[in-house]
Amino acid sequence: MTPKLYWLASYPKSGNTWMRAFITNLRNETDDPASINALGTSGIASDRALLDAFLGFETADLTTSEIARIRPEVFAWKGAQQAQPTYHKIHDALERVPGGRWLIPEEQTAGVLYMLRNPLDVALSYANHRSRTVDDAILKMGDPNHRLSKQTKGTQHRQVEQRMLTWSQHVESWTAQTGISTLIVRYEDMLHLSEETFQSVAAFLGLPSDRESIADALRKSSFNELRRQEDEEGFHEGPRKCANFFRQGQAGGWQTDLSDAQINQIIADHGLAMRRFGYLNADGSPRVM
Amino acid sequence: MNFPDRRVFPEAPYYRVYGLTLQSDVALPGEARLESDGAVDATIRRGRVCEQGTEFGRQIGPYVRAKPGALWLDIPDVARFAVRDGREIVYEPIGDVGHQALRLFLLGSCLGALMIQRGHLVLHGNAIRIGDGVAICCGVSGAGKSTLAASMMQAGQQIVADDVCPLTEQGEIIPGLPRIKLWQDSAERLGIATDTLERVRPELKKFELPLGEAFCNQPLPVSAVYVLNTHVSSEFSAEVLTGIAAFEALKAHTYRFRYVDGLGKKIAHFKACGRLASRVPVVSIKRPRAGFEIDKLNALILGDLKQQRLSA
Repeated sequence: MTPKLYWLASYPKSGNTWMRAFITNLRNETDDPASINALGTSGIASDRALLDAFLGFETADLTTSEIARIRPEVFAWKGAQQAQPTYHKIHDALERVPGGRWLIPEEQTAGVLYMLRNPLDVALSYANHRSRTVDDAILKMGDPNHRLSKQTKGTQHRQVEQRMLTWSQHVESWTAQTGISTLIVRYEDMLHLSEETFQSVAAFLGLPSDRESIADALRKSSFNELRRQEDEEGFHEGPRKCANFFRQGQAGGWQTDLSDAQINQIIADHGLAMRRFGYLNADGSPRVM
Repeated sequence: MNFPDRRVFPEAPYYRVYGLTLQSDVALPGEARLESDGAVDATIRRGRVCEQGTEFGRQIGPYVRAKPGALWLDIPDVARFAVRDGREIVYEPIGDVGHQALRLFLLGSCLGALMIQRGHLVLHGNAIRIGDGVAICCGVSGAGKSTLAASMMQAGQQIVADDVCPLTEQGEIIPGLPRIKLWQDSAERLGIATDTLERVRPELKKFELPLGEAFCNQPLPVSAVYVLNTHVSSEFSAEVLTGIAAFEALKAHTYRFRYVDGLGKKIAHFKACGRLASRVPVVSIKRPRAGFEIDKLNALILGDLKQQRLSA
């Protein structure tokens, strides 16, 4: 049986929601842009309600390591049952879970689309997303123990805990593995080389990739459109505290909004991965894109 | 269908849960203890449960199998469970799992399956006594069901059931255990100290709050079903669902619908949902996802219930 699960993987604030809006619009046959509050991709991989529905018992009654262990089994089961492909957003780093399996079930995985963005810009956007300082975002991006929806707090999150590792380790975890068919795209190329980048994405995901379809879907998922909808209706996936989920949708904000010390810190933390993906010049200075 | 033979099971204490006389070799909450040595409706005991569960019919999830009259549940690293004929729950612990973890799954999924096997419509929510009826508050994990129940309790209402809400054919809710489960942050929000409370599992910051006088141990008719959710708007909203929408809401908030289907009870279940939807209002309540104004939510539900009664 052909595997049916596609994973839209990224560190937060790296174009994942934009990509989901694009995919939804590409699959829709309506004239109007898809609502950001009804994106037709199939739920984040850490969605508690989705896991519970398939499990037959509740993740709320499990320990963090038990939850990690069952996640690939749930998706292996789900993938084996479904007739059509689904596209799941995932923010976790790709690790082996207790029990030894990869977090995503290889046998049911059709492909991984990994999106990454210049960490200098991620830091700014992540700070806004978390309603914390940029320095705090930089700290989190360098913290191997950084987790989303941490279970230790005694809160019933709508998502289960996600281990992020550092930004570099996150990138490495998804891009260094060779067992799973993976397409890596940079946020900056989604912005500046939209047509060819999204065309390759569509082809990879087995979706219509003719020029007209791509251009139409891009129009319907433009930054202005996403922001307009957020301003008018709100965005239910956005963080509760920060003003806008769709903040600027640009590259290079770091040039004016980060201090030299902050830039140097990020390069010290993530220089290797930055160099590998073209975010540094030959002399080690950050590249303007 | 055989009654379990009490002679092989003489020492285990008796309990009263969901209207059943249970004998269990896993200690259940003391408040539910029953002094008796008479007939039992069902037993909970340790035993062998086969590893693959192949004799339990088809797989209905990665860790669950079911066929009419039998359900098999495998909680990795905790225990395997077999629930049979609405009469018997057998568990086989894995490793040195503690009794709290066993109890958590026995009183939740397993007892829920047992009640489904016994032909009850079981909803996933909290049952709160308001006047001489009960409001069942449903909602996905994290919608605020337990916080709502605890806060209603603080406001003087009684709780009839937490999480598993089985109904009689006449549309009455059957009382559960005199406890509710509460996460640390919900307890804090309501000013409930957790340092003396028992954890549901040692690893989780989720506690068992004894209800005492706030527990209602009588079956009472359902007055309304509320489905809680959040939305992006900053206003609360209440909308009475009708027709297929009301039916769908009850189906969606069925306790473990997967079990119902696997146990071959789907058609009877749909009929029961239809009957309930035609008898009581099913109301969709949405609260702003930013902030959790629990007092407003309480007031909205109490106000709505009053209105439903007037118009009934």
